[in-house]
Amino acid sequence: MATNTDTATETAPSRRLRTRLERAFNGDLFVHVALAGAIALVALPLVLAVIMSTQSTTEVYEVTNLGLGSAGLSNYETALTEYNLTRYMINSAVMSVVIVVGKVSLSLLAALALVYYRFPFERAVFTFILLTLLVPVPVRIVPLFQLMADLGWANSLLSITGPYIASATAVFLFRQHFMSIPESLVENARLDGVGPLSFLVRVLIPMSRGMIAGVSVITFIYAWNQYLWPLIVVSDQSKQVVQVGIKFLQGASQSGLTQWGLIMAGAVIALLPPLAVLVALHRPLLETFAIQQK
Amino acid sequence: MSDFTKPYRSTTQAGLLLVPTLVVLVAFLYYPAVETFRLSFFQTLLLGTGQQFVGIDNYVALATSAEYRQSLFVSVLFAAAVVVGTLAVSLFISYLLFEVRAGASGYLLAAIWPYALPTAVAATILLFMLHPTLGIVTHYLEALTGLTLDWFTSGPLAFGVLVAVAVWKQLGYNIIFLVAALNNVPETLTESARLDGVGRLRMLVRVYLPLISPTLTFLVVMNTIYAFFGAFPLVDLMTSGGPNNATNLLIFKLYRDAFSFNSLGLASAESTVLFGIVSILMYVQLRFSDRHAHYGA
Amino acid sequence: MTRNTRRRFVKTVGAAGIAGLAGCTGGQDGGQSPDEGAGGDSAETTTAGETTGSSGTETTTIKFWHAMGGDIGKLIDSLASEFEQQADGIRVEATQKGSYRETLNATTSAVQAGNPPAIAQIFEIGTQLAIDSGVFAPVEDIIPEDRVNFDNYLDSVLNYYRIDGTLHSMPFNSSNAIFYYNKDAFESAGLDPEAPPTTFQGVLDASTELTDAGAVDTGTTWPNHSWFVEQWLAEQNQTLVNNENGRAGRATEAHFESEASKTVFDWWANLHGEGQYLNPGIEAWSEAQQAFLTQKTGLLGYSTSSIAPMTEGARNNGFELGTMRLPTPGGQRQGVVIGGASLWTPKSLDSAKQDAAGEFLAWLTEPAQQKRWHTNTGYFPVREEAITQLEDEGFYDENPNFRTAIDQLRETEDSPATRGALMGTFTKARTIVEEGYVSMIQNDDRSVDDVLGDIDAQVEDALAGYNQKVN
Repeated sequence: MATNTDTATETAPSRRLRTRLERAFNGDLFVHVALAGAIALVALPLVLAVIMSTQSTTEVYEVTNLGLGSAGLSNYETALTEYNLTRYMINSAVMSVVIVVGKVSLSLLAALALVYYRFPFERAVFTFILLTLLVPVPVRIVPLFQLMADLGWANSLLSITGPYIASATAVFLFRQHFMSIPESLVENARLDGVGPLSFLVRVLIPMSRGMIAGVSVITFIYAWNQYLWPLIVVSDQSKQVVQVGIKFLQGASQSGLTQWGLIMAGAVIALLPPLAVLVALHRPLLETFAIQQK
Repeated sequence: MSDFTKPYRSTTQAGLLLVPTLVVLVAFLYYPAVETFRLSFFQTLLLGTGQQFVGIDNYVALATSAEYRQSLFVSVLFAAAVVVGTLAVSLFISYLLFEVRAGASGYLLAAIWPYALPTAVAATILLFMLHPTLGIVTHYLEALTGLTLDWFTSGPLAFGVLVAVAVWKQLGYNIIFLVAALNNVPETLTESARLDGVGRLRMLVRVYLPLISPTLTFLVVMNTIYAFFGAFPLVDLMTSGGPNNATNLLIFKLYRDAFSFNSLGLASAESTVLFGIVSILMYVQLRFSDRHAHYGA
Repeated sequence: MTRNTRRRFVKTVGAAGIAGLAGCTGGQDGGQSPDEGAGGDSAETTTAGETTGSSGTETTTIKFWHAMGGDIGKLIDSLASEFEQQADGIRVEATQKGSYRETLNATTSAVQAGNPPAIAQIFEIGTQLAIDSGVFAPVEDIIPEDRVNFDNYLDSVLNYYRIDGTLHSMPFNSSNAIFYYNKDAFESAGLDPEAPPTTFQGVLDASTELTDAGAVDTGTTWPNHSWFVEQWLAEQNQTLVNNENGRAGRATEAHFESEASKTVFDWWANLHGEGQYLNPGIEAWSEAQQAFLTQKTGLLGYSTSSIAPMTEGARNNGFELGTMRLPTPGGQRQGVVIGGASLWTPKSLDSAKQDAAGEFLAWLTEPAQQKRWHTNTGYFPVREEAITQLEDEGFYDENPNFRTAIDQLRETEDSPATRGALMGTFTKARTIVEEGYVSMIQNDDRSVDDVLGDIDAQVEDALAGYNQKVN
């Protein structure tokens, strides 16, 4: 593995360059510099957004003005109070938590059946679930809206959570994870005659903390970022979610100018909950959230 | 897939466990999908009003449309660029994150935050910052390098900007999975190589990549789906498919036909075709990885 | 936010323990809660818009979906609550449903699902489509006859919305295109700030003077929007499509290859070629505004709908704003076409809500409300009286910027061209025109004539497809 046959044909200078590059690449300093550089680039839009969120409308438009602005936190205050972002945030939080809990629970049950049960058409059922990844949201909207009306769910919490509490991705991830759990543990459980639900609660869930954390983060972010569907199906403004609220901010203009400071503040506010979830769950995520396959 | 002994046998119980998921999927995904398929044989006025059966006319219209063929081409190119770009950049960052000894958590969070930002909000903010004549980023780019970035009139530039933004947005998702996968590679497998003094780059290519190949496969599939379905708000808010259809992705065309141009029937046919295309791609990807992925342990 | 919706909101999430928080954030309307009455509980399950019992009198709640954000959205809210105060037993829930397009889609979805808003704001180019969809009732059937005398409405507005003799929707926010210019920049470039250009050539000349003097970077800007093209064709008395602009029968042919159209696109493309047109993007209203208000350009093509906020915006940015009539080729002026949106009422409403909607619409177009609407935005009052009253009050003398728009409208001579086109596929036609312009100004520039041929063909294609659907 350590041999270096492919460089044999290279010319000496190019080899020297290569070695030098490699040596640099292997140093710790390189790691920090490269990371810091890459991340600075990735984070640039956020930094600019935070700066602009403190600026007045006129300041935002001065492209050379890169300092914190004179508006201070007033854009945040306006977004939260005048534009009701506080209420939308609560609505979004309720919606997202319901979706996370629902999706994780349902998917754990489904994965339990797929991995630990022998039943006819296993493969077909799994494929049937996976195929739902391929149905784009925009086209589903019209029939789905009709269905919500028929169910009497339109304009309710059910309508913005119900359609999202099952997912192919979550079932897939739990299934892969369960399959990587050592057989000996399963064997023990079977010998002890443990029922499926207590097996799930006592053995599988404790062993899947990282995966559950991972799925929760992804689901939370996905749910939190819903826009198109709530916009269509929720007609009461007081029940609306935060992403639609941000859209309202975009329509807000002051003396004919779009209030970018306000929009940036709204974006930063709406970004905080998903970030908080990421921060809270990043440890288990880093340690155990991986797709393994036996 | 290994044959391992499944401890439970009751088909009824398995059914009960699966029922909640299946009910939700059937009611909220399959039923609308079937309805979409039905609508693809109709023409409509405003959304679903004024339905008239037209047989396979909508499909014929697609098959003979040059615009649709271009859209298909652009979408495939876009997906390829996004999948490769996202994996390359996120692998680079993830590997560094994995190798870094101090401050990993801080770096990690700084690297994955764009993922937490809604695509539509990201698009709005980036449009403002990248606007060819008014944006702050383009302003400094021009001031520092003299380059103008008129992606409003140049097709290739618009495509490039769109790919860059799409990759940027999807990095976090990939990094989460990749860092976890790297962390899960058992030390025993990497120890001997390390002792042999194998360089960092070669470690990645020869040792880690094969070991995390299941994750890579998963990410290729998810990024493909993202590129085909998830990039819609970026196109809608930043380029509207232009200039000259250079960024007219299938998902955007479909959405515009359904909601702006009031041809829900045609859009339903497009959606059915898109479903077919992505299914085939996914099947090929999974097949390929079944044959080539290295499942360790 | 209203008490009824709050109550339902609280009920929905109450189980999750959020009730307390929601109560706090809804504090501003807490003062109204005592009269929720004991009947409140029975009303819990009714959807918004049902008739609910409340302290003895019948209250009808109607939903009004619109696409007006920001300051204008707030103005609508305050108009709605004023109406509630003077109307007996009618509550109006005004909600912004996103853009015009999103409002239209949300409305259609809601109509099909059987829970439509009582009033929906639909943009002018959705008129034909809304009629063809068959889900709306003509507004003249809904408004009580004794409440409204349509003779008093502005002719050009009625001419646009009255189709085959029937007024289908209530004209509400009507605007047309004018230009704004930076008086200070004009002055520093040695141009007369009181004599803005009136012709295509004049705009180019003024632009050159402005940039030569270093007053601005680029002469002019306006959103790459087909609306301006439509206006410029109307000024030259050129219809957009055949069959009297689609009003004497379904349109089948487009007129983008006409001489009038060539004049417009030649000028516009040349302006860009000369570096005097800043391209803000397709339908990029706010970007164009930004370019003008931050003094990157000296002129701005825009809508009359923003005269009030723009005048103030210019002041905040340290310059004085003037308005001028739309420049035209050689000063030819047949007139302009109404833009904006009108208010529609679904057929499927029950009669109580239909009556309430009629009341509200009649009230909304009364001179008093129209004056407020006009002076706070720049949208035209739809009633002649409102203008006369404002004239008598000296409003236009104090605010000459508003006068330009009114003059331009009043000078408009009625003809098929100035009545505006009717097409079921107007949205698509606009997209085709706008994308067409982009291909004219690309580096590998195709000739204007060549692209116009394409535009014509594509629009006719779209028309044929649509006509085949409705026949």
